[in-house]
Amino acid sequence: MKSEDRIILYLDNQMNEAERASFEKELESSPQLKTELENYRKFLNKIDDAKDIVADEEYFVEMIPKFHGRLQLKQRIKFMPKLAFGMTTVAAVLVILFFALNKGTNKTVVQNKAAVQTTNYPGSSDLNILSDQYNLGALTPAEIAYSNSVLDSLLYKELNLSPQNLSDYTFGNTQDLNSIVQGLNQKEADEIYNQLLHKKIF
Amino acid sequence: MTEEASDFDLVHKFVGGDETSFNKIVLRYQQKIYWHARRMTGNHLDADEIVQEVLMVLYEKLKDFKFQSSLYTWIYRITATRSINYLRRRNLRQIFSFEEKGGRLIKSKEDIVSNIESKEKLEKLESVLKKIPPKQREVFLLRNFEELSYEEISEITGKSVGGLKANYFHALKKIMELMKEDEI
Repeated sequence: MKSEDRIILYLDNQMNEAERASFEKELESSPQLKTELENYRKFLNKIDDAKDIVADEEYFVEMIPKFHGRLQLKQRIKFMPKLAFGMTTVAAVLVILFFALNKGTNKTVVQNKAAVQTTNYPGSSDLNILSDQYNLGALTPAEIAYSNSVLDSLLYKELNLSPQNLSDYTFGNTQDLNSIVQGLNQKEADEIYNQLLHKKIF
Repeated sequence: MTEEASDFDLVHKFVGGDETSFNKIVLRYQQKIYWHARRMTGNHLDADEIVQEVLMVLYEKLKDFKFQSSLYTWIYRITATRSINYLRRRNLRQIFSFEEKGGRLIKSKEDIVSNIESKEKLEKLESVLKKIPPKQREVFLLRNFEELSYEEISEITGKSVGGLKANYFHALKKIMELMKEDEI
């Protein structure tokens, strides 16, 4: 075992009686070992010096009030989950109320839609889909007129026509296109619009 | 009345609702808690945080304390565990660069040691202690500064006496080497 290891065991009282006696005997005959031991003692004394540090007493006086401040804060934070639970409950009630009221509005819309779509014929399904998607049932008369004009413009564009030159086109039976369009009944017009919608949108 | 009996009395009074008994316990042990944390972390701010954590644990767990060990040992166990855990968290923060290596840089006004001579002694000690692993540092402090037996340290740390002796041996050896280097 190295001498420094033996010195540490000696200083830490980790040697048994026989080892201790042998080490002390060796110390008497070895000045080098004795010097080494003294050096270790000197270092340990330096460490021991750090036991007598003068510290600010005020810190220790304030330690308890500081702790109680933290404790109060923690207890207040502990209370927060209850507050959060209360707020969540209120929020949940508000959401339920919102949906309940909204459901009532939707019923009105459905009723309006039913009033608008009085006829049901082959080919009207796409218009119904569009109506469902965009809530057409809830449209005002002005909005319905606007959507009709958009559909009209689609029709004109598809036929590469403009309202101005519609009368220029004549067909075999001498009817011009304007009078043909005007002569279409609702069902025929809707079928044409549906086909156009299929082509342009769906 | 022995000190332990006093501790027993204070704990019972506190459990019975007497808050001032808790303050008396803190007054009795605050220096020991602070200085262990301070020597473990190497700076005042970290030590102060550990002290507050330890007091919080004491306050919350004291009602469950059954005197299976002395209050002194129990408080040391909490302080030692909190200090090691704090150092682990601090190392993690350093790994992810949230903090300067070696702990927080503190201004002198944030330290509670203002006496120049004391400050020098403490800085020298802290510079040596921070170079040895926390587990060895812990054993060295408990053995050297608190002058506890290995059996008592074993009760605090939950480590075997043999392991503690080995830790102390390596800690002391390393400290001596560092101090020799410092002398040169």
